[in-house]
Amino acid sequence: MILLRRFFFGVFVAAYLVLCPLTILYALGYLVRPGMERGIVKTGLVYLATTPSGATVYLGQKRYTGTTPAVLRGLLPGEYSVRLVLKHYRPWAGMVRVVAERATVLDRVLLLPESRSPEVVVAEPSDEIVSLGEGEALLLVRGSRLEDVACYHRVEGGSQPLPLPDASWREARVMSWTLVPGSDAAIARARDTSGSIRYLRIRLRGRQLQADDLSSFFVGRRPDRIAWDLDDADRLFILQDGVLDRVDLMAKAIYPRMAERVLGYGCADGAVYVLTDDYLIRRFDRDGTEKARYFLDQPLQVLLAGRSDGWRIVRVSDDLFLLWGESGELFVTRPPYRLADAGIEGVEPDVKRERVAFWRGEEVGVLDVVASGRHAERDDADTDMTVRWWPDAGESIEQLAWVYDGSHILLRQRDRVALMALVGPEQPEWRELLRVRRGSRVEYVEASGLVYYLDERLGRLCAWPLVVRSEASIAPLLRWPEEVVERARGREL
Amino acid sequence: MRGHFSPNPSAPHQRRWQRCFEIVPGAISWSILVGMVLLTFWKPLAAAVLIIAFDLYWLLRLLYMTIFLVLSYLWLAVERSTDWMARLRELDGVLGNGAVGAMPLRWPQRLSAWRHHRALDASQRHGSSIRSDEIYHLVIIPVAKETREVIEPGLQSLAHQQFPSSRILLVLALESRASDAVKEGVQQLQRAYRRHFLDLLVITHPDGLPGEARVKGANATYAARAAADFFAARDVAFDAVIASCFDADTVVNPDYCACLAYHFMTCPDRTRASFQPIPVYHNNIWQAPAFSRVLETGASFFQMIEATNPEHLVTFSSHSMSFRALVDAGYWPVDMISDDSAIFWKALLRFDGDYRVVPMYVTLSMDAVSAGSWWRTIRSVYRQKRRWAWGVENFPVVMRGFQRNRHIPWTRKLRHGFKLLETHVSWATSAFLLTVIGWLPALFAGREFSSSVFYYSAPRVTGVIFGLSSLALVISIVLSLGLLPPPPVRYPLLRRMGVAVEWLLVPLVATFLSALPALDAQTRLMLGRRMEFQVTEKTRQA
Repeated sequence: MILLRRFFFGVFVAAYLVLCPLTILYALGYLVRPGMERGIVKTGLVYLATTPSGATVYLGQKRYTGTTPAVLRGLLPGEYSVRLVLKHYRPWAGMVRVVAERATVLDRVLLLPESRSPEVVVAEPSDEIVSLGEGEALLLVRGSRLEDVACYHRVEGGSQPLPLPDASWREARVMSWTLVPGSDAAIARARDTSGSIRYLRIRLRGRQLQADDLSSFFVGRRPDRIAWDLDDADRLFILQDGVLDRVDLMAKAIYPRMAERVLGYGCADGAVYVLTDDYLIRRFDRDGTEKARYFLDQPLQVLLAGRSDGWRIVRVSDDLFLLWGESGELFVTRPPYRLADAGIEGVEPDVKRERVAFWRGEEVGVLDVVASGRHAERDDADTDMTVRWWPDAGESIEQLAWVYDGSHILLRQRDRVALMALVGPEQPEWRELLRVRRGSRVEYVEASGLVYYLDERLGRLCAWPLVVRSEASIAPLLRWPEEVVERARGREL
Repeated sequence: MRGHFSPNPSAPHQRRWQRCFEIVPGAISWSILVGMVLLTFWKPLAAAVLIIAFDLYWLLRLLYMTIFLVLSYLWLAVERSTDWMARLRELDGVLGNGAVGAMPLRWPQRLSAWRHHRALDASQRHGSSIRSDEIYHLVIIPVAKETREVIEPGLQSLAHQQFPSSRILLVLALESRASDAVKEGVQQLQRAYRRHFLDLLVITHPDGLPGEARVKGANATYAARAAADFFAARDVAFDAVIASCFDADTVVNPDYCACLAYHFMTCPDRTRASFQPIPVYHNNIWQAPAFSRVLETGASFFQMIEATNPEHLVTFSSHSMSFRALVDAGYWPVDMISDDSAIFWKALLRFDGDYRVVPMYVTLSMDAVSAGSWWRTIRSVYRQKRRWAWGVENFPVVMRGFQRNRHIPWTRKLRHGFKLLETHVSWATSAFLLTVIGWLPALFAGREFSSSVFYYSAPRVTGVIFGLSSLALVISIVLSLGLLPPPPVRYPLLRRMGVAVEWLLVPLVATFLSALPALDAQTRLMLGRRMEFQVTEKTRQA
């Protein structure tokens, strides 16, 4: 038995000494290929996950066994064309670059159905939709008067008239809506039959709408801008003539002159960021207490000098801000500082992922805060930012939204809605999704994956399932991806 | 080492060495675990590579152990049909130049017979002169809290041995601090079974003797000294006595004493040897909870594997040894909890490395931990495993002994020391590395690591490794079903089939009821906290 034991011990030690390095090399992407230099080549892989899953994978002309989610291994570095085909869905195609020892991850590929009938959720036609909460409720604007505004609640269904405080509001004509994306409140600035300007806050509380007359807070005022923090619609910040006032609706109090000589401001993450004419961005908490100051770099100060006020401060990360001017200028508080001199029509932040999308005319740009260096982990390296532009994104872009956990961008160009993937092919394509009522907004609800819009012909409120949420909720690596192998031999293997 | 085998040396420099060596196992275990966790966050790729390397090592080791588990099991099955008394008679015949039995026809028994004939030849060559009718068995059963119901089955099994029980001296080593009910039970057993044996002594161990801790070894040693006086008074040579120290719940097969006598007679240097049977926990295996059953079966498997490696075999639990060796080595340590393994190390050092453990392919059965409710059973199992893992207390004592002993070859010291250390460190860390830490790089992967080929390859490699390891699991399930005693008739088929499914609990029980207690024990030793001996709670349904 002793001899037998020693024999097997030797065999297993030898096996380990051989298998261990081979296994690790394989796991690192090294493969042995006869004929190649030194017999060992570095390979990369492509990870593909689609929503919905189960798409057949084609790499070049070769079809792979297995379906998505899939890992394509043993690929020599280079560019590959990928095509994903799923029955009843439009094929998806793109070019991917494979890098040695790296994984090219396409884990948010959205397959669009060949035909998908929208669900009409409110048959009565409307002209515009205004979102409350993150699509929890939609205000359906059917005319210029407040009594023409109805509310659709995503869970309750149907449409209900606004709960106006009194009859005097019914005939008031809406002049503008003040919105904070994602907030559960919207403020309507309206002119009543006597010609007075009045302010009405519509707020979603649970499944009920509540309308509050805020006019008393605006007596003698013509605010340049009203804003509030996403999570606190009871504290308003009103800018007029360079003076920022704070209004506490719960306490029914106005706290004037929270900041003066204000060039611009913005609310984010429970704070108010105020740009003053000494080129400081001051951070205030919601109670109006100054907590921090950020000094703008000299070059940025030079850029700002002489320009008009009315800046909107968009917080990208703890130490990175965008300054969006009334004339469409877009500056960033870090080199290269200048993103656009004019024309920026909209800015859409993606708070969770610390990036911002913006557009003008036909162009779309995305600013992303990333770790610098290829091999540095995020926490121990200087963060940096990248800006990408897509110059031919569409015509007359009017609205932009982040979709599917920030992996795609939804664009509305007048009456057309298109989708673009941010992660994946080097040159992504815009895929047209819908036709909507000209000039009306679309609302994408992340929780349900639905796009709400007014249909082009009749203006009915419709819901179109962009992301099948039951499929998308599974994290890529928690579901075992299929190992796919090529059906026919080829260069890639 | 001629000195005192104890974790409490008197010399200051020995105490320092003792503390240093006490820290080593726990420090290594914690370094491995904490180091891997830190490496996961600092260098996830390196951590993932190490984990793959460890998983592969573990797979190969598991397959290696499975081979010997199967061999051991087969040998155990073969020896189950061996007539040990007949072999004793053949040995006596050889010594008296008598006839030897013919080879059996069936090939498994032919293997066993072939080994027997080799032993016969060796006995003839070496001129080993002891006969089976010259051998005495000394069986010491320490009792602290066990009631009559727990002890009696063991006594019955000893009273019905094929080996003449009139040559068995049974000693019930009773703690003076035992309760009156326990004492009364012991007295009843003495009255009932005395006539079956050479004698049945009840030796009451006084509490608080100088130099002693409240450990089973102190009780057993006190009883062994009394037994030595008994044999000396009757002019029985210690060389002819085989001492066995059994747990109170130990039940032996009818041929155990005969098998033990056979191995004693055929051992070339019998007064420098211990004899280790295969412990099984079958007394109440069907009443114990599933996780307890899996754990105890796993412990049996471990001993079966160890039996195939006699060069490194260490005594465990109920075992036997030459009484001469026991006396010369100074009996069991009186201040160590792990007396079962400590006596081996003590003897090894005492005899300058000339000591061995002879594996016996015969089982003796004990109780599986079953404390009434699930929670109490979990607690009892945890404590029992922690006590077993407290065998790590041998490491510093043995290392100091090796330091001072100039007669044991350094290669042997190295092998023994490494195996002792590696066994305990592996016990405390492997399950955590496999079930918990191995998944951390994937869970906490930073962006850089999560976009590497390795991040996607590692789960596949790990999956293949674990898939292959399931082969060992299947084999273990099959062997466990073969090892278990027939279930009570009242259990339905579905429940009995569920026994196989219980093995899916292995990852959980291995981590929380094996590795965690081991880590607990090593940490206590590292921090200088001693462990009190606690008698494991066991209940038995009628």
